[in-house]
Amino acid sequence: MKRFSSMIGLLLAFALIAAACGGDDDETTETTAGGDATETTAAASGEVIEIEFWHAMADDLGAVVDSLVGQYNASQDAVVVNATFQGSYDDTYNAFLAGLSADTAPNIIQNFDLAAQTMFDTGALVPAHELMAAGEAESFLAAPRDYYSDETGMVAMAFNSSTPIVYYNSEMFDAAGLDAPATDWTFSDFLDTCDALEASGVTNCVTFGTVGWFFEQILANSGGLYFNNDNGRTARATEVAFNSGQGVEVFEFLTGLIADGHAPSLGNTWSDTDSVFFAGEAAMIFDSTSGARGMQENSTFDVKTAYIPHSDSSERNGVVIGGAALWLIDSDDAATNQAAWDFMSFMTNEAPQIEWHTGTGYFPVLASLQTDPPAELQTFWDENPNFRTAIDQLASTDTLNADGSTNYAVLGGRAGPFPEIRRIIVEAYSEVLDGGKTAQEALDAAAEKANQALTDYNELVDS
Amino acid sequence: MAQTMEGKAGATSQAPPHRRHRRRYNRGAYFYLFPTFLILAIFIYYPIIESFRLSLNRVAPFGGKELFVGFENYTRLLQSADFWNTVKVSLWFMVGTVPVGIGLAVAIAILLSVPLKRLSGIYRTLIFVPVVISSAIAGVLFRLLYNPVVGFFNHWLSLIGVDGPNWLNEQTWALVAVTITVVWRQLGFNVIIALAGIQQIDDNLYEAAKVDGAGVFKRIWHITLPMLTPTLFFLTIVNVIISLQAFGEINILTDGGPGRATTNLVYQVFVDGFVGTHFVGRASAQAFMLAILIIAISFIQFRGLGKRVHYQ
Amino acid sequence: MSTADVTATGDVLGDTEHVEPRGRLSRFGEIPVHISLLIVGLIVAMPIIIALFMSFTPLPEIVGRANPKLLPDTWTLENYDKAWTASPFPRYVLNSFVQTGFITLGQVLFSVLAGYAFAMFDFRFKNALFAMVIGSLIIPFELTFIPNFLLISDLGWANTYQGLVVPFLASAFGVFMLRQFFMSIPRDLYEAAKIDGASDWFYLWRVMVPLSKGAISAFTIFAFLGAWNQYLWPLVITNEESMRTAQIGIRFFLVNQERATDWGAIMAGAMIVMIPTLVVFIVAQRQLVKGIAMSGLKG
Repeated sequence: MKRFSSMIGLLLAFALIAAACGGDDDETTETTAGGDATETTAAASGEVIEIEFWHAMADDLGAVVDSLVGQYNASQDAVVVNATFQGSYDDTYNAFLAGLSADTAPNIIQNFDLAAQTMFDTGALVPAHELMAAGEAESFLAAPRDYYSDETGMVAMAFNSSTPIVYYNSEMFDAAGLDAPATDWTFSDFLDTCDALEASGVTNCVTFGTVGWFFEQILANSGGLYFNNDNGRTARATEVAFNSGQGVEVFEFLTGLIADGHAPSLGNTWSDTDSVFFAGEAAMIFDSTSGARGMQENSTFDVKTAYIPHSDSSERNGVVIGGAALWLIDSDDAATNQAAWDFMSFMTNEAPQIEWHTGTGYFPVLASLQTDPPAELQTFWDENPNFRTAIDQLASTDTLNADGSTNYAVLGGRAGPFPEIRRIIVEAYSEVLDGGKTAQEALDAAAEKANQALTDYNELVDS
Repeated sequence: MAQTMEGKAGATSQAPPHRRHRRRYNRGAYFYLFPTFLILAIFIYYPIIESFRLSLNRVAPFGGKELFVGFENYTRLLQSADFWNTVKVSLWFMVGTVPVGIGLAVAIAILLSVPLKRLSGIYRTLIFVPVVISSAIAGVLFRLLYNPVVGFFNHWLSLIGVDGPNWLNEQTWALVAVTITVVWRQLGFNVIIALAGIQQIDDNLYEAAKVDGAGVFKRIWHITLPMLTPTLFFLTIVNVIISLQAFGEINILTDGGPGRATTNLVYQVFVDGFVGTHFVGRASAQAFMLAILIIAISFIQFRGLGKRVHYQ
Repeated sequence: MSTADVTATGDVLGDTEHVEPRGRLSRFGEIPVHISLLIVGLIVAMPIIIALFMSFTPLPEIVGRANPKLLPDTWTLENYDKAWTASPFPRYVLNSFVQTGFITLGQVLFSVLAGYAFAMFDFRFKNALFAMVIGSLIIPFELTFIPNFLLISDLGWANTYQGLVVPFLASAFGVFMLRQFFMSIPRDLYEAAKIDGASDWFYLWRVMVPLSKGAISAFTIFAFLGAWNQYLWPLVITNEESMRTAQIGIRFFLVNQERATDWGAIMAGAMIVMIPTLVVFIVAQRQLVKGIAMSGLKG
């Protein structure tokens, strides 16, 4: 950083000029006032450890975060957590990466699922297992625990975990004489449902964005791997595996829904699909569990939920958890790290977990809440069955194969350039829908790009 | 502050005022340039050098870790079909936005320059108001308007019996849709500049032409447009740059899609540098390619158009 | 080009007393102009009008209609309440004003100075320096973003107004724009002023700036808008609530990646942050109009 120091002199000289120029200006007073205000709030009493926590939870989700942080701060005197919203996941990640370079990173950051490998590779973390009590990891549900674990143990703490579910307009299902979809339904079952719905006059059977997530999830549900080396779980992923077997079948199904007119072509979106569903222009929508509350509140009809389908040639496997986790950034100070961890453990206590779940739709990661739910939670589920679907879908996921080995398909892929590869899949949709390629051709082309990205990344990290 | 500056500047102009050799170099000029160049040096020129260094490396997302690869980022780009596609999209986008945007703006500015007894403030506000919103909000708004199922555009088109396209999700229409949005948001900016240019034209010229019996369109053609050439030149240069750097609307409207249909060069740089995996080295290399492209086009413009600009 | 040639040598400093300065197109009458402007204005403003009405529409009504309607069935202020209370919005708006105010001031002042030098003076390296200005105009922000972030962090200017303001105090665009406009002021005037003994400094502030009020007002609007609408830099350079800007508050609603877009609140937020820019615009617009009266060298 020495190279900057020569410039500082120049800058200071300039700052003086600027200060002189702005001397008469009203705004200078505001600057000073603003600066003072900041300092006053920051100047807490001496012994307290301050923990910076950056998150990506907007508006009402953010409000729940703030409420939990407030409860934590009120619950003890030793630690003060400052929770700051940093924008979207990408914004938060950008701020974090920049902060790493400049030594201004926070103590805790919420970062999205696909960044997991890169987070491991930063070497800037304190893995959760180092601070956990022995056996504490067992108190978490297997899926969120294992998703963020390496060979030694849990690295990050699943915070907002979600899975995809199918929301449907139950009035349209009734009108078409359809029952609720089975928990285990294949692509053919799905298409039969579409035919029945469309015969009853529904404009579109389903609506979904061509985001990478649904491909990943339905692939997992069909038992297909995304990456080699057991989805990148037993060694670094060096190639993608989605362009053969289940991957092609799943991609044909998804692109086919749009190509055959069962779903409107809305592109890579989370919001335009909502509008279509709410307007009654589609009977079903693929979306995240985290949207459950919004779906209920903003629709004028009765919304129900179902599991996602799987390919005809497979058994139902289950889903991978999505969402984001809390990562503890090493501050080089044991007491600070411990304080940060104290807050993270607080967030996994029963009461905060219940508040988080009922307030947002992200599901609780504490195993005890599912095996032995407190009465208030049970009542909530009885009143809001849609919140229950995702939990059941995840609970019934086959984390082990029939022979007792790990089912890596539902553990989810892990690779450094995963976010980049997800974009490549989004492009592949369009290659099929608008570029005249078959699903196989599009996935092969995608695989070639993805493999290059994997090679580049791995070479760099191992160099 | 103002006094000291005045003193300084006054000193420079102590020289005999009307010597024929005013052409001689004016050292005082550097005083006027100093603040601008100080800021540019620190916050533009220096970072460019740093970015060039990065472009010769593969850079880990988390910084620090770099692998020197020489010109690999550049050679790979030149061999990549995706890269050339981004160049193509950039150029199409430029061709789509610049002439239409400036043409509309000049026409509207001429209309607005007509002195009206009333309502001119309202017209101005209506036309300028899109300028004040950010590209992100423009993107969100148009995204809703373009929605093929519940959007306003196709609803209105259906009222006149036209079956509207799926604006954002067909490769050809997506580029058109983004172009319309950018032209729309840029329009007020262009109108303001064109209007300011028109207002600097000497009224006497019109009167003289009127006396000569020139009609309205003749006056526009022979006075307004020629006298507006410095403004038009400026608008062309700036609009080309803006069009080649357009990314906010693309970000929200299409995220570069469908496929890569609206991924222009600058959007790819954004995606590589700031989204998901973060390939900073590759992003820097592409940003330099973009800079070269803009330099080339600007150079052509300065050479080709610059000479035809008429300064009073 | 013959007319233009006449123009160049024409009687620019002639008697203008009897000219009615606003009679340019009067032969046509005002009616066609009114009609065209009204149509154009409504088309151009329509998306904003839609946004305005949407900001008063409850969300279920916005998303639950297959056939979009302009006016809400039930009017609500709930969206404004949401937008205003979702973040410490007043504080954000204040920060935006401070940031935008300084940036605008710096850009306008420095651009006037540099634009004047490029337009009027001969000096060593003039072309090279001008090329460097244009050069910095074409640099995509991505190229400078990360090094600038590191620099500002090194200086300890993260979470400060300096960090928000200083990198943007100069504007290559402004220099270029004002140079173009200054160049369109007849040089004879400058020579004449010099003969009368005026200094360069005096000529700039007493002649050039008043004559270019239209252009300077226009650039002021752009400088203000550019700074006001900044998002990525303020987001990354500030990570304390107390230093955030209004656009960040708006983006609160845009970044809900896994949930329904709250159109009404977004539009309400957009309307709120639009108000200051509209005010600046309306004030500056008066200057634009004055600019008309000042032009033509009648002064």
